[in-house]
Amino acid sequence: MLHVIYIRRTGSETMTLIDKEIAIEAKNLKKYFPLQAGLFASLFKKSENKFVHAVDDVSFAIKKGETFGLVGESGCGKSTTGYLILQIEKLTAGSIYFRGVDVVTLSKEALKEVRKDLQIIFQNPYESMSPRFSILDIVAEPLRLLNILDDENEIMQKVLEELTDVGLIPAEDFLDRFPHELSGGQRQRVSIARAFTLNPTFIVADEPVSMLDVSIRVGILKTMQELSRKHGTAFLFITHDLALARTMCDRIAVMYLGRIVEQGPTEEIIHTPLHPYTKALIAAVPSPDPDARRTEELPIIGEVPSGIDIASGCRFHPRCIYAIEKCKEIDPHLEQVKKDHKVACIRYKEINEIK
Amino acid sequence: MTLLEIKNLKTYYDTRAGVVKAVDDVSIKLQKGEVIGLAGESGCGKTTTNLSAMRMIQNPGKIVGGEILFDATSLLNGQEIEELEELQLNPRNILNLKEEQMRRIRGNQISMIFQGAMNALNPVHRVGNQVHEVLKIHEPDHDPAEGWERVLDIFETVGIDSSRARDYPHQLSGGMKQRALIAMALISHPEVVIADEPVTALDVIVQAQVLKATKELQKTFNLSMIMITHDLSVISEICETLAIMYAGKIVEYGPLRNVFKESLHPYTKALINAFPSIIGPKKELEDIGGAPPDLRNPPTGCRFHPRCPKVMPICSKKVPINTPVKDGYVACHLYQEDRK
Repeated sequence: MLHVIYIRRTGSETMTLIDKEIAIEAKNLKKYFPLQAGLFASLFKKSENKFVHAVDDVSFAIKKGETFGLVGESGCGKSTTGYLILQIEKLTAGSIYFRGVDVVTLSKEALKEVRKDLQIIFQNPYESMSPRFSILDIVAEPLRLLNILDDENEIMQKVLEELTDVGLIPAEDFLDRFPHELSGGQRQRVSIARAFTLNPTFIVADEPVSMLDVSIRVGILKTMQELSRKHGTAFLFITHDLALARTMCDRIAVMYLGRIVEQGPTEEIIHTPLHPYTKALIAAVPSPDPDARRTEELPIIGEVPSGIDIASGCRFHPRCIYAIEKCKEIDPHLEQVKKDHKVACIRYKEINEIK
Repeated sequence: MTLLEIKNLKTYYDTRAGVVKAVDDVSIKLQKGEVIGLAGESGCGKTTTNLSAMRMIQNPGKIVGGEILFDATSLLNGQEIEELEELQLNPRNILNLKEEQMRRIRGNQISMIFQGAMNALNPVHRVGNQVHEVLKIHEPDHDPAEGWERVLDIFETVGIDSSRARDYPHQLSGGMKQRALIAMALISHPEVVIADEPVTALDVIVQAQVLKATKELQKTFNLSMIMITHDLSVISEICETLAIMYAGKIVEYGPLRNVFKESLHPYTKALINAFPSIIGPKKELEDIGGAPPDLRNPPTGCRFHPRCPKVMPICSKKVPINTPVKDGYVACHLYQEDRK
């Protein structure tokens, strides 16, 4: 058990009630990766310290049993955010509240305890498991590592259960096989079994199906949905594919260069996006229906800039078709538009004709 | 006018573990100005089909049957044509040509846009020079200064600022690299362009931009294209004709709208239902179940039968023939007369 004081630090040190509905909450997450100058440059030039602003002030709360989607283009910081929440990457600043405790402040031992409830499914099923481990060992690893079960028979029973749950049937046939003997889809099922072994309350799914073929995908997604319903697991679903996010997520947040620019219920974001970037992103998604071919010009300029020298004011303004002088000065913050729908744009009212 | 015809093509890989029948009796007819989409999952043989058309299959792969008809006789001299005719070989079947003769066609009259903006370019040469190389090989007598002008021109055409021609690949963004590859495929004014997953590795917005550019270029030059992709939504943005491949065979072929809206083959239907869409009401995705077969030992009869929801006794016994339907065909026993 954890013995910690239930205090939440929100700016000033005030005690607030723990929201029983919230599975995990991220507050003002920041991650700056320092850029190393080459040896030659560091010898002869006095270089200023430069940083890649991978994640820059990101906050959100995920409810129990909810699937929260994080979408954006590559390099927008969505995976890094997932890693930060699980403390796989060290934060530059920010807090992560889990059961009312800021897990960032926890000691290594206490963190190990918390991690039983926080799991991850990685993107690449070809690289995320040791080739020398049998499937039994891979799925049993969390049980052994955290001394949950000692008895090998019990461990095996548990593993068999998990493998059956993810659709690897008959489970006995898989125990002694090795990852290379399995197809990509089967491997990803093993990853899911591994993530669910400890019955966690929260799982980060980092592009779990982007490496898989379409006909395999649906099965995996359905398995994830079933398990999350069965165990009430909350998901942070990271994906670049908005159409996929739509089928999986209850709410989504759209990220651009390390910031959340819009956040809200999935269908609302898809049908009435407010931020110019979200609009462009949705307009860019190709549709499989030949009657819905795109004809108009995409409402966006150019390509994603690097995260090193970020534009002043709104970081999207150099690519925004609605940008005005003021956008170069004001750095917009997420503003509540409707219940649960937030947007970071100073002109959202004008461009969407909201009174 | 049929420009390129792939006829009953069979390409097998002879591996130690057995013969992989990657492409098994595939036929495609490409008309002038037509864009054919070839869709299917990985391992279904779509890339092998197109590499065969370019005669770029490498060991242990081998074209074991069929013809690839493309009129490249303008690139052969009279003597070479006579030689072929003496051997009673059709000079229009490019499988009959010598490798040296094929090299004159490849990259010149039939060219390819490769996938992987990330590693299809040579990192140590300027992109402009890499595009210029195509001219140096296929038009050895051209004036270098004039050639360089043409490189700059084609850069502008595909949407890269011509000042970037002297950049190295690492200085370009993913979208620009993909555009440079398109420039490379188009500079020799090819008759046929084969695009292998040209936008797969790109982000949605860049993908939409590159697709749009490709569509415009296709119209401007009236290009005839075969576009390979696993992503049906990319295909429906650009193609007029759609071929669905499964386990080394084309299972359904026809005009895009017919195949999409009135799909006949159970695999086509399943594939379309497995695709999430952002437009229209939210739909429940349907699981096809199972996995594509091992092509060393494909299922007997129809190769889709173990996964097919409408399987009948005949499906495991007899290979379905291509049954003609509206402007296309379908290979499924459901639509054949003798299904009892």
